[in-house]
Amino acid sequence: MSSSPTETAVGLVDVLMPAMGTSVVEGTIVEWHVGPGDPIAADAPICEISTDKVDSECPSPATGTVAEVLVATGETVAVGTVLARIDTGGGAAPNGDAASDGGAATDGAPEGDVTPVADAASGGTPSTAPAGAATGSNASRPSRREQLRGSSPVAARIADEHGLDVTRLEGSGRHGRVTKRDVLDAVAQGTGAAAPAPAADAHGGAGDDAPMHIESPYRADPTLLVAGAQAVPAGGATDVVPPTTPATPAVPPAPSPVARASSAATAPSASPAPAPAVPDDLGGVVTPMSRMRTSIGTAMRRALDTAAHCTTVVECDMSRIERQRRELGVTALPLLARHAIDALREFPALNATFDGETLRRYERVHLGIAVSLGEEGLIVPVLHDAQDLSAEGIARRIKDVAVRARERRLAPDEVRGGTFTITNPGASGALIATPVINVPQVAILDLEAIVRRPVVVTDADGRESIAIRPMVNLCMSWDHRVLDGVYAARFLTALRRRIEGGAAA
Amino acid sequence: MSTMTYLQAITDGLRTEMRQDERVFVLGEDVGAFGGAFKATAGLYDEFGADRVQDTPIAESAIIGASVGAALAGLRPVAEMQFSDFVACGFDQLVNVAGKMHYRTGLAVPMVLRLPTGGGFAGGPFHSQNPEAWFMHAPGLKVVAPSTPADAKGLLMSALRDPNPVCFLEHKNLYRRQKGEVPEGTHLEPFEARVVRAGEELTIVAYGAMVHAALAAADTFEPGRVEVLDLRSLVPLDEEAILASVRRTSKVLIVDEANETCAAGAQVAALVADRAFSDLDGPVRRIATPDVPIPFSPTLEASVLPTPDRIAEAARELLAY
Repeated sequence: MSSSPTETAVGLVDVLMPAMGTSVVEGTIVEWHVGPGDPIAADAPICEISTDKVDSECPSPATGTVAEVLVATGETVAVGTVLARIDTGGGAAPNGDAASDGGAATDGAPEGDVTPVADAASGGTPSTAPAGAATGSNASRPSRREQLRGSSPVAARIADEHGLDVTRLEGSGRHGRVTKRDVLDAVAQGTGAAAPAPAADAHGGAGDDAPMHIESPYRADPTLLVAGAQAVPAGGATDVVPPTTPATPAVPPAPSPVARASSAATAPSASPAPAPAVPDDLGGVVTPMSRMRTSIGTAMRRALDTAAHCTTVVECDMSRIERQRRELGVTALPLLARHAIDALREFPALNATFDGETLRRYERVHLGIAVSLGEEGLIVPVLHDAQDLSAEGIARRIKDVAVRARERRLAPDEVRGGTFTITNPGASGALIATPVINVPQVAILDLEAIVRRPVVVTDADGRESIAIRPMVNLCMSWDHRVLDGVYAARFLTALRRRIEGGAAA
Repeated sequence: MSTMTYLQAITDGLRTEMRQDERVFVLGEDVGAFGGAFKATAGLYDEFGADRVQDTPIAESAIIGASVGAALAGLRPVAEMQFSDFVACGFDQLVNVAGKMHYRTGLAVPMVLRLPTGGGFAGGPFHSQNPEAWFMHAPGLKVVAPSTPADAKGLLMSALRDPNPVCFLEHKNLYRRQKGEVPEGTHLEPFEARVVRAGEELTIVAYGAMVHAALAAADTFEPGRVEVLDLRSLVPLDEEAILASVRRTSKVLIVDEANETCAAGAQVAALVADRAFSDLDGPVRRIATPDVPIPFSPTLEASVLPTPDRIAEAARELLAY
């Protein structure tokens, strides 16, 4: 490592395994996005981690250079373990760039080395004139206002990101203004070796494809970049490649060949290549369990081994809900959730967590909603303080978390701290189920399929008749260690009254 | 696919949805046997009868008010303003009653208000306006403005299925001048912007008739330099599409046929300044009709409306900036 602990003790920041949920105690590194020596910006994803609750990216706590990586890909460690250390500056200072206010610790040094030797003249920036001249002085960085006087926001920003001084570049714009193109050209020349020839007339034949712009703040995922680069050889017309790309390698990717190579090398080892599918004599094919499958299995086993599961079912007339959902343009789930929240506040024993020793009841309702990820598994994002939301608000939130859950973009906080869970497999047509409690919660409510059935109804005069009504089974599993069947039944009938509109709700 | 004019595409969209959904009905001045001032409803009276193609008195407030009531009662009214300029008479019913209904009562008002807009044919100050910004400023209304026959049908059919009141701005000057392939049967377009010409050095943002002016201006440069983004929907405004384009090109020129102050383009300019500042390589520039009434005189009218020449000139300046 280029920075020894002593010399940079002050400048080292630890990257810790984040806590992803109350019951999550450990996480697994799926992939490192950087390697030692790579620059990293604060909040940029530094690695990908997986737990039994959620897959997530771990953001870098600081801007700097990765000093060391302490946990290898595929390793599982406890929450709070130091995963890596980031050198926030000390070593890189003499380069001159560190004096800049910073969005970019990505300096001009393609090797990404933080050793103090590298200065503008010798190490970092290869020999071309404009770039060299621009990076030359570290004495006084021009102020933002000075930068913008003769350039533009984007030119100043790109120059900054590449450690160039925009005020020293030659401008081709009106009145000698430094344009974005001037900066890109300077950057491209600066690391010319990496840039294929056509860089100069990059803007020539754009054709009909809008090339992805390299200055987009949305940086392509390095792994995707690799895939794209390999998949599209010469004149490929897909998104990433075309004309502006030659300018790309200028800096950000420069350090990354190492990172790419290493991630490419380590990726397979993280998930061993599946054995060729040779059926056994009965035709069975060995199918590897996904990480998510395995952790769901462990969690379910743990829940069944601890909570004393009982399931109570009531049947409920959904006519009113059906009407409301048409009016509001939402599904039955958020409407049911809204009623369940109101009912829970009457029956606080169900809005609770119990870890075997301590029972906690909550005034606030942190509502878990089971979201199916297809065959892969499921996840339970939590709508915190759901008691403050209207049915429409709940609908919107459910949609939001469901979409992001399927895109694997949930933040750890969003799967943490549930006090009650609703699951809704009824959408797939099931009539009854005994769901497994999402421990340490003490109950889970299951909304089954709404089916039209003949039922006995009583009119205002007490006369009975048979009517067709949309009926549903509300199945609730609850923990007999914490409450008894009468309480569960009273909760469910109270919920039914709210749903059917019998009670003053 | 079949080739239609912009106007025929609107009629086709109405007819297609009226055949599929009996809740859809048309009302307005002379929309029945006469087929509407511009013949947008031609043939509908014969096919669907007087109950579903209703002539109304010359009373825009009543037309819009009745539409709100019908929508609340479960129908899907399509009200025609003979000229969008006249919507001012029905402003309260639209902006206060229709637009705020869902907020106040939770009830949806699924109605479409067809607004023939725009100038360029010596219609003068009462028959040439582009009032879209009035409605953009009123929460609760959606505002869409197609530029092509296919979009005219697609956005109209989407509007007919939208649970909100939708102001559908159809540009009179495109009615018979724009021809194109239009999908048959149900055709739905999302309320999103679309890149109609890809380019790398400058984005021209436009909607309605100005898309064609912008394309003509873009044609005066080498291919691939100037991008043209057709907003198609003003509310909701496709902010991500605007930002994505500007972040690529770093320069933006925004064209409105409407009067300049507080026009749709002003909102786009504010968005870019706010959220794409550090991607800009030049000033955010706008071209719009100055804040004057549209003159009758063809020469005077041509001197206030944005033209391809004027757009190209501004584009040239920006490209060289």
